Amino acid sequence: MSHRIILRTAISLTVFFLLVALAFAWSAKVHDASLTTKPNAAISAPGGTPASGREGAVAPSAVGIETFEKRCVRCHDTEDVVGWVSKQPGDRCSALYGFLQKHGKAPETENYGIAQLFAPGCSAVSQAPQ
Amino acid sequence: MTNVFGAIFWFALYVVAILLPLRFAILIAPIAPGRSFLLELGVGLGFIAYPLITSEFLLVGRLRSVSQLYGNDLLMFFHKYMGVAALLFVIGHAALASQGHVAQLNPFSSPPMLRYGAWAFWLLIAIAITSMYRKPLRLNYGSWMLLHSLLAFAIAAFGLAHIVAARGYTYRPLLRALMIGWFLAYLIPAIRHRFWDYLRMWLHPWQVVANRDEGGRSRTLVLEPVGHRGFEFQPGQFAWLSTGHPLVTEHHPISMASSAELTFARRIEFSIRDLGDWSGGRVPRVMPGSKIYLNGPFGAFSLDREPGQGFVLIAGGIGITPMRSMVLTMLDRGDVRPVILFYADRNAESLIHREELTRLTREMNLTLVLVLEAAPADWSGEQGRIDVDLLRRYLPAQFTHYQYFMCGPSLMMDAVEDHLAALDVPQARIHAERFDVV
Repeated sequence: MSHRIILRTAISLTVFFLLVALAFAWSAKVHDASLTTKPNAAISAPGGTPASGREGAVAPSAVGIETFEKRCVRCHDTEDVVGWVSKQPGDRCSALYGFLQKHGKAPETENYGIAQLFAPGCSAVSQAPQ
Repeated sequence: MTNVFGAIFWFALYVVAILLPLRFAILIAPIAPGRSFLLELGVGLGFIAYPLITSEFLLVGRLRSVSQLYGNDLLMFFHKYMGVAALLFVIGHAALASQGHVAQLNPFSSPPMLRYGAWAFWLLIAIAITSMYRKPLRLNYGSWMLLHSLLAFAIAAFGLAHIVAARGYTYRPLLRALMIGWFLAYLIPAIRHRFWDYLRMWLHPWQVVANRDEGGRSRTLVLEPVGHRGFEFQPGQFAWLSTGHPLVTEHHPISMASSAELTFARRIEFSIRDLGDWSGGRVPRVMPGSKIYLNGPFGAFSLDREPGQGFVLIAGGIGITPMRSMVLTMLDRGDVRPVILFYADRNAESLIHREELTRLTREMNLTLVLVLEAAPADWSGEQGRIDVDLLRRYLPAQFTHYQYFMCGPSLMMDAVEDHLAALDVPQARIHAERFDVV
């Protein structure tokens, strides 16, 4: 086979891969925009999984994402946490916040960040750090 | 390429497998809100670059099944071009994902999660430079091969370490497993090749029966298997040849020059021209009785795989060796199909196997066309280079039904490809083997 055909094939494939990468970036951006602008939309937790049961559009806490990625993802998947939170009766934020206080030795700010990330109504948590 | 459906299937699988990590990443994108389009694009390029890099070993023709499906010529070029594509994707990844923080590319001072990536980046630059400029850098083939293998391993390992340590999208176990899978797709065949194939070579040595001077700075090594039955091959294929211990000595791809119809002794011949370093230094000193190690056969460059009414063989310089094998095999098989052999070289002294080929024109349906760039005054053959006019003079009326095989230096091959295209020879009937890709 002519090496020019191989060159054309390689160039076409490279362009195709580049287009797929562009589509990936575009898709990520569209998804991101829909999460942060739509009313009543679920909030993106680390990993993009919607945290269930939230009311209104709230950008998740940067501290929460950072902390979750730093401390939690080694053992817990996002779905695990979302699933656990959704099963809690009553004030889910307090439940998660209380759990985090017992579970590890993270600073209060970090516990609050994670609780704010996954549970609704976290601004009402009485123990929230100032 | 005989198994067209097989070739298309494996190519499609290659494309799908390259894109698989990105496909899964799309499902979980974005990992955090507020990330810029360019940052996500950089990440996307990285997810394509790593599979491109680790799949490169599958394309180098050291895997017999792949080599025999696509042929070495196609694989080597594809390996080269996709290597360049991988480099461009990695540069794009580094530029966009670092968001302008050039200091992150310093492997000594960047944060731990980026340090491995920075190493992989610079080693990739190094492998590209040493591959593109091997000759100007005066790297001999053996040293370059060793350096290339070591750099490839380091790039694959540092790349994986970067992906796992970065813990972006790959905090998801499935995506992490996919990237580790791509590392293993490189590592397992590489280890199998480095240890199993080399061990098998060592356990199946060949003995040098003769080391003939053929003139034209070329020698023919005649080898005989020791304690085993050697291997069968198709005329035009090649083997990796090592003149020392296969685990520690460099390997060279050399076409079989003898008939594929093996005799009782199962001898195989290799004609090797002095092109510097190993071929000029080591080969002439190989003594009869000494051991040599072979790994073969490889390649899809063979008339056994391409049915045709007749064959046109176009050889430049030492590219005559696979053609000799094809012609001798046809003679041994009593194959009466017509063969036209164009054999070009610089001068009359450079031609090898000339008397034998001339004799074969009387014993089989062979037309020999010798073409010299610098012909002596009493030269009765063709002079200059192989061009459209010269081809027209010798090709029969039904030439588009013939199969075309060409082997020689790249410049000649490029020119002949153009000439055959000008003559409307179908692309599918043109088969090439180059020996100076690197």
